[in-house]
Amino acid sequence: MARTSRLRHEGKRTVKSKAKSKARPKSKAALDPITFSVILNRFNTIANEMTLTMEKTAWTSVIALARDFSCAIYDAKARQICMMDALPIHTNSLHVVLQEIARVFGDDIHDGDVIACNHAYSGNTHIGDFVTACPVFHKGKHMFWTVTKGHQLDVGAFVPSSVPAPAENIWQEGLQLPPIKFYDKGKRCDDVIRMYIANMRWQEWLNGDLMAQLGSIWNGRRRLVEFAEEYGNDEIERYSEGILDYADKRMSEEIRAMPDGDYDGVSWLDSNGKGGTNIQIGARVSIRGDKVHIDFSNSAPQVPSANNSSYGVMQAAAGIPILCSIDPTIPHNDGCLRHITADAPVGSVCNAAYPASTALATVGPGDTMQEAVWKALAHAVPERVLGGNGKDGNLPMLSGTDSRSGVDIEWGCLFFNGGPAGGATSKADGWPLIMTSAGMGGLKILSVELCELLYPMRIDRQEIAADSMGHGKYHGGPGVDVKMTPTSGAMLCELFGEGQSNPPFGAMNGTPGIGGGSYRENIRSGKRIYYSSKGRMVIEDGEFWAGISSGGGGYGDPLQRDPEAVLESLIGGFLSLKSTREVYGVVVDAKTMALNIEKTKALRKKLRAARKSKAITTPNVPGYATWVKKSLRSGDEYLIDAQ
Amino acid sequence: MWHVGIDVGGTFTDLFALNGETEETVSAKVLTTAEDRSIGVLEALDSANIRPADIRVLVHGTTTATNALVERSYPPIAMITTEGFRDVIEIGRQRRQHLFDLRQKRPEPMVARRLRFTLACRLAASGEDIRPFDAEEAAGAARRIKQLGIESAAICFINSYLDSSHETQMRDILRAHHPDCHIALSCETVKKFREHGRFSTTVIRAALLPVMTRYFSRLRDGLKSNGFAGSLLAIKSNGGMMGVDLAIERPEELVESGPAGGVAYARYLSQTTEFSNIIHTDMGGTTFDASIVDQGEGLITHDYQLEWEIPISIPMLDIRSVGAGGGSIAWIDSGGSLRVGPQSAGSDPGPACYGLGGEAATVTDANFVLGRLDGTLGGKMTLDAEASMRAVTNIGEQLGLAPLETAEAIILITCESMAQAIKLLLTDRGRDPRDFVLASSGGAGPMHACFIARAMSIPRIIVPSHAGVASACGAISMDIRHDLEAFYYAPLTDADFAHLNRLYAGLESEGRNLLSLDGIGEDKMTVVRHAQMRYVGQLWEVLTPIRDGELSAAGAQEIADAFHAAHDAEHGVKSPTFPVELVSIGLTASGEFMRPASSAAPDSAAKAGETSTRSVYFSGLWHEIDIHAGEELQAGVTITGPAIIDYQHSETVLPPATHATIGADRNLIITLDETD
Repeated sequence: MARTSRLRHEGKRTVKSKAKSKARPKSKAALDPITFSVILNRFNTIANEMTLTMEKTAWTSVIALARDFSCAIYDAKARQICMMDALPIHTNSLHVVLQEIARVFGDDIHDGDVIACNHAYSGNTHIGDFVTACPVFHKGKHMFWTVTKGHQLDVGAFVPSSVPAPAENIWQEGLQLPPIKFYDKGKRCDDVIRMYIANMRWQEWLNGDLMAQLGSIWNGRRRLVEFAEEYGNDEIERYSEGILDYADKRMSEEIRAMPDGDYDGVSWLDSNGKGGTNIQIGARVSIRGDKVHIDFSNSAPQVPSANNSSYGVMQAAAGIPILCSIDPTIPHNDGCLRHITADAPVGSVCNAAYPASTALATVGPGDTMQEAVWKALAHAVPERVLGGNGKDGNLPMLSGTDSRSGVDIEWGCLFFNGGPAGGATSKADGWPLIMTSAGMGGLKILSVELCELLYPMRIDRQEIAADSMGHGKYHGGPGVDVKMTPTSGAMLCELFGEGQSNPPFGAMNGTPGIGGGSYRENIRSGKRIYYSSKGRMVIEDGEFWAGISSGGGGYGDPLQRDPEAVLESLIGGFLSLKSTREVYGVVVDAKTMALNIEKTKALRKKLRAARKSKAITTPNVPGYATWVKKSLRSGDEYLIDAQ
Repeated sequence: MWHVGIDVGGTFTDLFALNGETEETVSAKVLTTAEDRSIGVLEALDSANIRPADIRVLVHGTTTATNALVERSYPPIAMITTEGFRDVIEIGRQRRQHLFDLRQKRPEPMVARRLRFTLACRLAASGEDIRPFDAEEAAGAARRIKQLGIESAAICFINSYLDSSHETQMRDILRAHHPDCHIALSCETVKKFREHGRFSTTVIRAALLPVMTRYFSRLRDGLKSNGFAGSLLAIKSNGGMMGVDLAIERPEELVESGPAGGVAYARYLSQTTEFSNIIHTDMGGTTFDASIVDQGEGLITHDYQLEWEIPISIPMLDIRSVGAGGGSIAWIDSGGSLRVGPQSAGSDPGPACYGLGGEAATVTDANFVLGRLDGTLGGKMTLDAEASMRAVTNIGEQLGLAPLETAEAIILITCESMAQAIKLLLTDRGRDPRDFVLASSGGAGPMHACFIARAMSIPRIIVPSHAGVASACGAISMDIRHDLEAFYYAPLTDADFAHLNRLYAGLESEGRNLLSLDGIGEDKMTVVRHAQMRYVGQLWEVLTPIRDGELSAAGAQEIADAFHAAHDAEHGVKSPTFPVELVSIGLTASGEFMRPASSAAPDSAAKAGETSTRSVYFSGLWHEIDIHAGEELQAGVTITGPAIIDYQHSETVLPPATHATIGADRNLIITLDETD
């Protein structure tokens, strides 16, 4: 194997020069709609190319297969110009960390620089997210930033995980990188990069991912310089401003269409990471004219583990539900973001005070803050919200020693295949495996066949779990039933999940998901040890890991769901006969599987009459999950925040 | 004897034929016969006065397969898979298409969950048989499938790319219990890892087996009973052809069979004109297709998705389609704005002006109201002007717009959605529209080309001489082409070159054998090798060219260098010091067929001939403009817009501020003037 220090991409840095500039004489005239559309699309194309470079050239499965990264373009003032299908929790807060990078380096920002940062107290989301920013200069002028944020497989924490749940402070989290130059005026800072890599596990993989990330921002820079060459700096700036104004105007119309008022929503974190359960997060959403403000004051103080939010995540989590409630064709850039403000007291679980750990910020606290905002929005714009998304559950960080080839190889993998599902909406059933509101379906699962080749594991099952979702006129996406057996000795499994005691909520008379959970089982004795959403598990030789993830929350009254669709779900095995009857009021003959329309009508009438009031969201109390309680058998154990 | 190309589209069946002896060409266009599309094929031959007995080769492109999949109109199919994995095709890779759009729906899986059966047998990633095949259990599944009257089944086991034995045992048992059942095996359909793509492709094969077997048998019988004794070839998604016997076994390769003919025509143009970079577009009655021909070759994708997260993991031309065509219906959405398509009036009832009972206003009606359409559709039928006006007026009244304004709005909206489809394609493939010329084909294409090009800032358009029947014409300029692959996973430094040579030799003899089955002589065969490679530790591959001849450890550096260059070209970066690995190997075997000869050089002294005139509406004004008979125009003639050039199977509309020249081979080259 080549040594780490020799790994280096040779980025292309030449610029294709076009003979004829397409710039028109500078004028104050209105923007030409065709040029506008060409320029808008060109930004999208460049962000897309940055994304492809990152995905297709990365070394770790978390980047190359699961796609836990984002690429975006900012102007010289660190305002977002463009992002394409990137993870919401990243892109809605990248401006926060970029502004800090710009502030820290001030006048010391030059062509050829690359500035890195993973420091949550510098505006980053959490330590796992590694930011690389590249200033783009043209004709001596700083025009743009290309920025890529990638979730690293390792951060040098005290446990082999980039999301170390038990970390109590930033020193346990791993190597902290406040804004720091990796390239200075085109010169590689070998000493800094060596120091960075020296602190990481799986160094060759991490170095490969770093090369992919640099390739991504450099390809973005190359394209932007060509672009500026073609149109000229002034014209590009004029149209960039126009793109922000366009999004601003459309966003303004969207928010104005929402009724003014103050709306409250409350959700709970499963635990404080140290055994204390049901930590409150409350959001007040205030809509006034074309502005929305989200206030998280009604939330618990920070907790003594990594289950706290950073400032950056708080900003992003507040805004994502709003951006998902507007016309999806509005380009997401600073023009939208400027309509949303958010605040939380320093020292609260939503905005932890230095030096508290925020390593889980994007998933646990971030998703739960989003959930509180969604629940508040359900009172303002019920037709636009969704039943709750499953949070980060059954997505463990696995590691161990792979001896299959006769040589011991250390390996690690963020295993996404058991993740939870998405909530239903007023128009459609939820998607399976949406995997957190932070990603909103932007993450991908890993190919089973590829996993089994790459890592010492056998995936025995990866199947939809019946009755795991919230029910409704539209049901949540179903959860997934996964079983995995280590094939080369014991495997370490760091759980950093959320939402297993507090399941995804149901909206507008829809019901919640089941919450789900996971356990390890001794193959001989059949004894199971269940784990709460967070904890350290060692899957011993002779054991397997299994779990069921939560389905998403349902939307609308289950009694309004088309009985034929309910029947097909029953025959297909998505639903049990019991929920078909008791929740959906659909009567089916268990032997012939024939639908009885008359009896269904009568049963639905009866169930409807027994209904007391309309539930905008369910539940509104903590600890509502059912799966663990139902699954525990006598002799099984259940561990909360195991260490 | 004739070489005949036939393209069966959603609305029209097109024919183009070349006489091998006299070099005479002939074309025809008839309505597609939806209930049995093979009837339309015979009608097209009849309309072109070609007797089936006089045909040497008939090359056939058809959208039958695609329609069956998209409409889910194939008979119910079963899937037999590994226990614990029956939802691979339902869960997918689980990315959502539009992250911020919560209300999007997921496409329905191709097999209902209740028809997905599982067996306990299991192969490990090492190839070890950790749970052996149980014949009794398999027989149970086979009996159930027979009992349910299922016509076709996909057999897809985890890790079967390593060892086909479980799948072939299941096939034998199913065949024994249910001899009439069509069967698709994943280990035969895609010989590579990554279960989602392999299973999905296999399921698509299973869905199409009964549909395409029926279709091709009917077509062959129809032709034979009329005296046909030539070879019958089908157009493949990869831009080549294959014999119909093979097409029946590999119907998943027919998904782009219709539009691929048009791409072949664009490829032919790129080799015979000065334009080597072409955006090929084809607008028929129902759909609009766009694809890229770059440096003379159609761009291929290995990541094709039929619908979101329904991949077909074979190399295919990268063709993007949207529901926009002459038959696209204008309607008013719930927000009160005008929309056009994707619903099409098809050929029955067709646009209102066809007078076949259609009442909805279509794009064709809008063109007719604006005077842009000849009232006889090239002499094929008499269009009903009143019916068009009535339909367009009706839509306009709901919007508070005058009929002419409404008609122009319908055209504008359609052209915008076509321009968007092209933009998406160029974006994905990293191409700049200004490096390309827009080629416009299809019965309805050249009528809209100038508007689309203007929306895209593309200054030049080529309307090929046979634009109205482009796919049929392209069909007879194609090669037979087979893409074959084999799994071989090893770092390059550890590669067993003797084994690699055997694998390549095996693929090559398979390729040559397939070509000779379709009558290709050894001297007409070309074989090009490649491999899917990546850096050790990377997770995605890059297609890398591999040289001919014996490979050996001594030549490993050459292979590595080819990979570094391919990685650099694809991603803009490379790491020449890092070790590389092979994931799979493959080759393209093609056999050359005859091509139409090039003719008619431009004559700068040529003048436009006789013209008629007509009133045509552009941008709020009526213009009295010249109508040129396209077939009469000499190469070298220049025409200034506004004007219309009327061909047998299509019309080219030149709006104001354009001019056009007839080039070599009578292709029309249009230039858009700078408008400001």
